[in-house]
Amino acid sequence: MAELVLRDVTKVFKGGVVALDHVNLTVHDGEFVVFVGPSGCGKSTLLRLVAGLEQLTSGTIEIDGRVVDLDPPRDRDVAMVFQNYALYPHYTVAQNIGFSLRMRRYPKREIQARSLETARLLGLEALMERRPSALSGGQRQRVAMGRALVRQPALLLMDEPLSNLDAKLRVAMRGELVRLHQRYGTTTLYVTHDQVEAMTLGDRIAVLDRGRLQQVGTPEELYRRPCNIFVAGFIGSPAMNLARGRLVATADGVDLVAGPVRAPLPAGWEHRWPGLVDRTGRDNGAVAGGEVVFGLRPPAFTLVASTTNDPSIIVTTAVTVESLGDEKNVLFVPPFGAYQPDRPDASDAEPPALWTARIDPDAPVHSGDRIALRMDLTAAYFFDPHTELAIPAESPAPALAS
Amino acid sequence: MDSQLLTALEVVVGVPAVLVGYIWLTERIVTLVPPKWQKRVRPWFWLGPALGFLGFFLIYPTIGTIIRSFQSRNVRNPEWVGLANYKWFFTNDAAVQALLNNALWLVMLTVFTVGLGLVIAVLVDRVRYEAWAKSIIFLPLAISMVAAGVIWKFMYDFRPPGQPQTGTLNAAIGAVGINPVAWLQSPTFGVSTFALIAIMIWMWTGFAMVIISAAVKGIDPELLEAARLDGAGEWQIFRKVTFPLLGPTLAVVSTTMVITSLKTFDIVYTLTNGNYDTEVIANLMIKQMSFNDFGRASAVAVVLLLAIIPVMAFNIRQFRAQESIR
Repeated sequence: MAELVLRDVTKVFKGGVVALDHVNLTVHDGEFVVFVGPSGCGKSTLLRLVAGLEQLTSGTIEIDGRVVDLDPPRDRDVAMVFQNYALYPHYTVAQNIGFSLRMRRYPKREIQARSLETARLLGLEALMERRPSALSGGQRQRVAMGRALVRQPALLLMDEPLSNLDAKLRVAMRGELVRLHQRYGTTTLYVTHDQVEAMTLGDRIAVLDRGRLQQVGTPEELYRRPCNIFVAGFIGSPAMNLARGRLVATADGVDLVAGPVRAPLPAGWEHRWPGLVDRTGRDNGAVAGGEVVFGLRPPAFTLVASTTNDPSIIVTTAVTVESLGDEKNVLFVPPFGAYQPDRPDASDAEPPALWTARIDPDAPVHSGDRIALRMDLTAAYFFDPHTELAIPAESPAPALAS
Repeated sequence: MDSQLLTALEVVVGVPAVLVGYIWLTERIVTLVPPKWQKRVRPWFWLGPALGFLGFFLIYPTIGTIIRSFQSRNVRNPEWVGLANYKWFFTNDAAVQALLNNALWLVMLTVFTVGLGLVIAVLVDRVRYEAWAKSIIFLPLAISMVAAGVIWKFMYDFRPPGQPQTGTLNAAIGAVGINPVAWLQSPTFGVSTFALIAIMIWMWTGFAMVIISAAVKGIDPELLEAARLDGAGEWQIFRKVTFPLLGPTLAVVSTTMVITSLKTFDIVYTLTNGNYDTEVIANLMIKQMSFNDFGRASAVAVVLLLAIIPVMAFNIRQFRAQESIR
């Protein structure tokens, strides 16, 4: 049980690669915080810094009010679950689980009792005498968990612990992790590149990109109020659709112009997105010439008959249709082109050139079909194209159910 | 045409031709066999030449040596002498000395090469100039044994006290006022044998280090990090994680060194030729051959062979055990 405070945590590797850049975060006692981001964003480095496997370049790390920057890993009272489990191949399950207690010279009986209790909790008691090579992937994962939990550390660190499991097992283990966290209440830092895992596990999620903390919040907050384009595109599955557009003032409101599409913003837009008011060009010199980046999540589309004469309808071709049973996603090329960041060093998580719309699963749409989709602009997100920051909505976008 | 060139041509053209011819011929024979037997017959044809060569150059001489070891020294007209050669071996002072020395070699050489190799492999893993350090330590193995013997003859060179010491070692200890030691002529406490073993340690530590180092590199660094987080100190990590994981490798290197120590010959032959109580089995065998006593030489060879067989068996077993884990 402990509180973790990161203050201006910075790590620069030899050769000048900045892995982490002034990360500030407080993880409260008993909280489950997930660090998520594309590969190379620094999330694993952050975990290794907290564990003491890497040395800070600057900043401080506090565990329960104690600065641990210079402490070796064993004095930090943290445990870690590694991506590849890192089980000792020459030890049995029991010895693996009890290893940390043996290293800390616990009495033999207590080691045995606590190992057994932990194993029982993880359903491993029948496997105590096996070696890791005789275990399945899921069992190894549990042993790795057991090894970390047995000494009830102040802080539990997990580095993509589920990424080597198959999809079904991963979902099962996710539930298991939630259960274990409820049982032990250990403050947990969890690293993943999988935003679905992050959304389902975390009390709070911290989104990292290129060494910088982008946003920290509950899954809900990140989904409803992403603070910038990166978070908007990263959180949510399928990802938010983004494009560049321009706001043009008209006689009775404002139109969003993107390529050949010209759609009016819904009535009451100035209350909903106050930040858009001085970008519309109605007053002299609109901010950024009225340029915006707008985003729509896949459920913000409705499949319509193409004859309808509605300016918020786009007619396009279905490139791919992904039918998942109870939902159907159509991938299409938007007539105005999908958003591409103009920075040259864009990270791996580049937004796809296709947009995705979630449509009625019964709709008879196939790849190659001409389709008409109505965009629901009340569910739109707006961003500044230069700062990439969100232009916040007064009330968050409604959670749309398809 | 130059006869050497002709020979080369014969080898280049002839050997592949014979091989191709052999394969062609055996395949023809295989087609004559009923189809269900073909699968069983073919491997034997392919294995045949290798087995033949092994039989002719290894098994046959071994059997010949064993038979010879029961015969007298008369080459032309050997008589059966039963176990006389063995009896000589185990009662002869020089031979017993050789056995004792070989035991000393076995223990010292194996312990020091594997021990030093392990220590260096683990320590060198943590430094930046690793490649350099390893190259230098490995270098002596590339030197021929005889050349090493010559080098160390200079190192161990001895002049009576008062004269200028040309040997490196004696010059060094002379500099701090210690009397020169006749390294290679001191039977007391086996000084000379230790001096010889030291040379082999110098040569073979690099070998042990390279093999062990490869195994050290093969250990997942996450395991060591996990141990570090689990509260293990560096020494505990070495004892509880690194060392057990190196076990199979250490066994293989150790048995290799045991065999090397049992076969020790060159260094002894070039530096002392077994004098000053430095005799070893292999040198004894050569001596008997130079006396034209092939019976005794064969008996020595058989003893050596018998000593090595269990080590080989262990090695093969170890190898199989590792294969089954994979």
